[in-house]
Amino acid sequence: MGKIKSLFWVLGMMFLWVSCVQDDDFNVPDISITELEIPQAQITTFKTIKSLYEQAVNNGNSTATIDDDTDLYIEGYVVSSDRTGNFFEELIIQNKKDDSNPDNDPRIGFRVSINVSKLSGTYQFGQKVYVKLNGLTIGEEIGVITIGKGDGVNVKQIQAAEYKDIILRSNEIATITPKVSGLADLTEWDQNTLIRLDNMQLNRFEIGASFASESYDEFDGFRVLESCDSGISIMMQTSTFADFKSLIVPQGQGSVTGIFSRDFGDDFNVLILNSSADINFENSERCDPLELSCGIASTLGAGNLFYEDFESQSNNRPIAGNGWTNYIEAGTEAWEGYSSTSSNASLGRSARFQSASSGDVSNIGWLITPAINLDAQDGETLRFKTSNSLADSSYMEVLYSLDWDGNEANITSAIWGVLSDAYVVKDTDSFVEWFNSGTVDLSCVSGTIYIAFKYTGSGQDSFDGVYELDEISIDFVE
Amino acid sequence: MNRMLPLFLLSVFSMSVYAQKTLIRGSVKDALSFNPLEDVTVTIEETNQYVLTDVLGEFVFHEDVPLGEQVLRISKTGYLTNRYPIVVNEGETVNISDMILEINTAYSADLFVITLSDDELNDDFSGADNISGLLASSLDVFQRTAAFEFSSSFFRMRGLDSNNSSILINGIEMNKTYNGRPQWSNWGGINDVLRNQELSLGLTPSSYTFGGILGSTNINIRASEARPGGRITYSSSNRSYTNRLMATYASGLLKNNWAYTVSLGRRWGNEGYQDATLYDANSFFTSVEKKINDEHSFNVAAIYTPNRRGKSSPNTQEIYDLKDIRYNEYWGWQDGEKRNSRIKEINEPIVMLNHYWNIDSKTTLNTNIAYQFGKMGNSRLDYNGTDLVDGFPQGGGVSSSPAYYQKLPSYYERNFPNDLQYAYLALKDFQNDGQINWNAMYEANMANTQSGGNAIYALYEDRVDDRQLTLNSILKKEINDHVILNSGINYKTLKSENFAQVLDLLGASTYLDVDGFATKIDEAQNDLQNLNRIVSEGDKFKYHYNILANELGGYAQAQFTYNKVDFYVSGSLKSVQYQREGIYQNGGFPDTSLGKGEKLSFTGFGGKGGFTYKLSGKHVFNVNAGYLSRPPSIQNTFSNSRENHNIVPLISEEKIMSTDGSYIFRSSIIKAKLTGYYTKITDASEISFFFADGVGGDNAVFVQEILQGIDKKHIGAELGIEAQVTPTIKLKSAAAFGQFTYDNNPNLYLSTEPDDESIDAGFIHGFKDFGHSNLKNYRLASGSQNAYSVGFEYRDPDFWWVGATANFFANTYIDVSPLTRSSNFSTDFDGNVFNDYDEDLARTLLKQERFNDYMVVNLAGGKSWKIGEYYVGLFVSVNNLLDEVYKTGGFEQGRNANYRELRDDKALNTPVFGPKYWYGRGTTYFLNLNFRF
Repeated sequence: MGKIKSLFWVLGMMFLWVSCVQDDDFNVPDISITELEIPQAQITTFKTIKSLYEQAVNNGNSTATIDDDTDLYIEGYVVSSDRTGNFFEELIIQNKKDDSNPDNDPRIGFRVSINVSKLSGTYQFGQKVYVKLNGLTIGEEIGVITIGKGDGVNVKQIQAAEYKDIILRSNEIATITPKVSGLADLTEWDQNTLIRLDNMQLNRFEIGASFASESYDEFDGFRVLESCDSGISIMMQTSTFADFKSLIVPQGQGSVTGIFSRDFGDDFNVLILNSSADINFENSERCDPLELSCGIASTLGAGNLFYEDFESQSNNRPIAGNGWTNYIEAGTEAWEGYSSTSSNASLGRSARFQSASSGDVSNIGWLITPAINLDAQDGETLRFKTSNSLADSSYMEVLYSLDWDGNEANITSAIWGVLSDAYVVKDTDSFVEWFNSGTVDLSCVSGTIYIAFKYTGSGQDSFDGVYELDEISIDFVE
Repeated sequence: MNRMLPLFLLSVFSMSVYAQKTLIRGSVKDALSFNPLEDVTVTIEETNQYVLTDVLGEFVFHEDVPLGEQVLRISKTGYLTNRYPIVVNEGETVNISDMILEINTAYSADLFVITLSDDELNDDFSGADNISGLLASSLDVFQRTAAFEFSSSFFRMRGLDSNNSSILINGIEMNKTYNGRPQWSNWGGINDVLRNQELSLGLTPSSYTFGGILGSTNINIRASEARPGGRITYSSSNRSYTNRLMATYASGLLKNNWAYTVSLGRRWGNEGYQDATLYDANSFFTSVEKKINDEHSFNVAAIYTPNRRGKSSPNTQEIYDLKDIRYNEYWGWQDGEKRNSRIKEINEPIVMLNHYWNIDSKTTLNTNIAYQFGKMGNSRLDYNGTDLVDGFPQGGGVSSSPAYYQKLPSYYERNFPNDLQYAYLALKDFQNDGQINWNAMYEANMANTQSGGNAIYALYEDRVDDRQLTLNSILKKEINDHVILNSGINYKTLKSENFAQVLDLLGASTYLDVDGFATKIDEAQNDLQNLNRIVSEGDKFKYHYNILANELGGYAQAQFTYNKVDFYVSGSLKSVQYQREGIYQNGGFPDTSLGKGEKLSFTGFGGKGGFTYKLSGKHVFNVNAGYLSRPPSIQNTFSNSRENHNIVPLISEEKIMSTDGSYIFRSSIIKAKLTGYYTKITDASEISFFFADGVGGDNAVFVQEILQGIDKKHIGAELGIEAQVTPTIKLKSAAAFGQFTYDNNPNLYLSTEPDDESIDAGFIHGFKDFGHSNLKNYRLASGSQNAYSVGFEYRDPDFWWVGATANFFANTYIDVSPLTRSSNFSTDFDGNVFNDYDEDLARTLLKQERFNDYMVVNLAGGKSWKIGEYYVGLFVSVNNLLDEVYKTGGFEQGRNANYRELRDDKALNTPVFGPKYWYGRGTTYFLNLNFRF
């Protein structure tokens, strides 16, 4: 038995070693960040960096590169999140937590291009970060100011091996209050910053569509977001790689928060959401306009009630006569006559509305036909042609009213609806061609009708397009 | 060694001389069993003449026999040497029969076996599925060499999978129903009690089972048959575990007719040869027998060997070049410790009750019942945790693999050829770090949790919880001295519960159990009965189903033994039923995932026979032939069992035809065996999983690859030769020449999620038929097809020995991807051949990679001492002494599934999706010290 005793003594010893293997007993590691202490002298403002880039452009360079030798930082807050895949290999960083905008350090945002996906696992929304600018390049990509590496001509991505030494984190996760703005007030300074738009809705033609998984969506899905206050619209841009691409866009009305940016081709403004949850439509009521839709007429009558080809008007003079009401609701510009033989030609003489260089904060102009009595004949139809010249976000509508009394003072208080069957040139259409409206049937209504061509824009770059109008004809079947 | 050669030749010639002179003849038997002992060295001490005993334990001296009083010394490795005085008279024959040898318990050659069965067997970490343990106790020189010397490389006997061999413990088959392979870990670390093994090689008959075409081994753990005594063993190694401690005590049959054996063992280590391959295994064994009377005896045994091991990754050549052959992508630092994300845990206790009944002196009936239960788990990281936003899963992370292709220099070289500094940055980054970043996953999870979300990253485990009951009865009847009948009946029932389980949410507390890749919320559901379920640590998730299996089989055989000839015939019948029972209703397959699926039945049968002709004690001829039809394993029956009931199309029993013939030569000096074999397997099926790029045009999908109707041909020869050139020096050599090929163009199907991407890629309900895969004449990836070994052993009479071998491996091939050998390779999305398809280039691209041939030198030695009543044994081995760097196996990645993808990838200096390889270990050691009483 002595043998057996010693055997078990040894066994006892043996199992004392059991704890030797470091296996599955791991605790949550300490992941707190050692707060950086960067001397104030090494921190510069976003404005300085933006100016540096603008200087470079003025000197004929496409990018500006920061000196590699002296430590230089900017301090900002992450306002983008690629968690849902709507941002990809980029961080949007702005210098303010809210909409404050002091003159010496105005509210600005930059896009930082990094060849790493799912950055949100490292850089949270609202996290304060320092960007170590040494050797980095400032330039423009997809129409917005972008920081990255560079080769003197282009901005290139910061690589996976180096980004953690460039974008340095603070422990501070700030609450970011977006700037609440009207669409018309957004400027280039708002690019790469977090914006909240109130009283918005998806345009009625977008209802039922997904964010970005329709057959016509390539790379990005664009959905028209429009303001119930001003009627102005902006494209909501969603990546076809976003997790919420297949969700159906919400129907109601309310606020939308996102990054104000440009589309990939730098052709128009867009709002990019961090998540589908950034749409907060608490109001189920929509603000769609009254619509008139008798359809497209199958026959065009031989009788004519009203015709205008603007040949008798004068260039650069407000349209007048022939029963027109030319009303300036806002700003200093009106519908005017013009002619051009360039590639962007007029049809002889035509009418146009041009808000560029108006200096106005807002330009709204109405060109209204004389009253048409729809009860005196049958088969009334409307035809016209439209064209544009770089519409930007400005837009033109064709409206009707059955209750306006013809008095300019009452235009805005009358009820105006949309002639939804009429084709009006779109922002995305070519500027060269003139587009036929189609033969818009008016015969399903009765009473006296006014047709209005309404322009909305401003003197600001982002909103100062030109719309052209010609060959308006109201016919009937004799 | 060269000096020995003339002597060796001389011996061969002298044997053919025969003279009518004075003779000494006799025989040697084992002191305990009274079985004849072969290979005993019998030496006449005065003259140092010696001979070896033959199969019947007999020997004869007929040359220059000295006269008068002589002493015969009989010795054999592992036995205590005995001396017998004799008197030799001229012209007479001294006949000294039944001399006995007693086992020297201090001196065991089975030390080798220990190192093997722990370390290399069933090692799915190295891609090798080694069957060598089956052979380790073989007396056949070729088999033993294969077990000892070839096993550290990837070598398969005759190129065959280990599911062609049966492992039994006390007559109960231990092969897993899931894949037909023995799960060696289930009895690891209790080597001391597994010494009683009975081996049947190849088709040769076993008394316990019909067996597979590679043979069968019955491990006898009866307490009454264990060698009495105690033993404590300590081992140290740098191969897989660092330390091993084992203690065993066997009582032998006590006076009160009880016998018991207990064994305890522990193997542990933080790191084996590969980085962060932890090893944590405990072993408990007990066996108790009560002999009721001469007819009846009962034995109860329990085996419990829980073990956890850290896995290591196969890597591309690019990675090996940047790091080294110890590199393992599965681990990262956490709290100053190496944490491996892929742990394999096996914890499947076995209990059994055996009844032994000696019906009469010629008839025994052995009835057994065994129950095995427990769990098997393989952990891994999930990086696709999402949050439910607006009713849809949003979020997810990035691959946490540090060797993910988008992190490697090759990716940058391919995608940014004009900005090679990116590749350089990636290279430096990978070399300086290149491991999992656990902290980053914690950060991401904790940040997302703070904003009300779930875990993005999670550590989870794929679990298989088997409960299996086996009942069998084995009857053995000796009709007369020449005829033995064996038969058995066997019933097995298995419930295998399969699911994934959350292990660690890495700083988060919840995880959204949906498939984040799906584009529709219904399809995203892992279980439609629990929509958008939130799970936490310890919960089951992802998939959950049972596989129910029943197996009923029997066999019968007759063995005939005569002076000149032996022969046998054997037949078996087996019926199996499989059924899947879904517990989750998968969103992708709402109608074919929940509840019980179709009941599948397969019937297998087998017949074999063999014939041995003993021309003389020196020359023996043996032929065997067999035909088996065997049911497919569960693994190869269900095509996507995690998600649905679907089965492999046209699934049927696998047919195996096998035949071999051997010539055995035994003289007092030389023993040799030459075998030729031919095996043909038809109608096999195989299922594998991977992510495929370039399926149906340029689409990328995660797929199950189903290869059905595979024919394989295994043809080759084996040679083993041993020469006892002096009583102390033995030369040995073995060679295996094989050619293992696909013998037809099997059908290829892919199965995947029925989502938009798979529809784009031409899948219908997540299934696509790719027609034939042109695999005929490609080599099977079954390790080195040719292997040779030469070596020697010196055994000093003073109880020490040393040996060395040089082993050469050749014709090792990569596992080819069937998808790239299908029509998918050459055709575009519309089924037309790519317009830039170049057949010559295609042929070059599809050429099977053959690895470099290599040589491994192994050294081993040992010594034993007797100290008082105790024995101490020391054994040391050094493998791969020259630190040769070599590939043992590898596979082509399933990405680059078509001509354009593969062409563009291979055109690079470093391909992005190059094959992944396993490398053999560099120089390693193993040291074993044991103490016996």
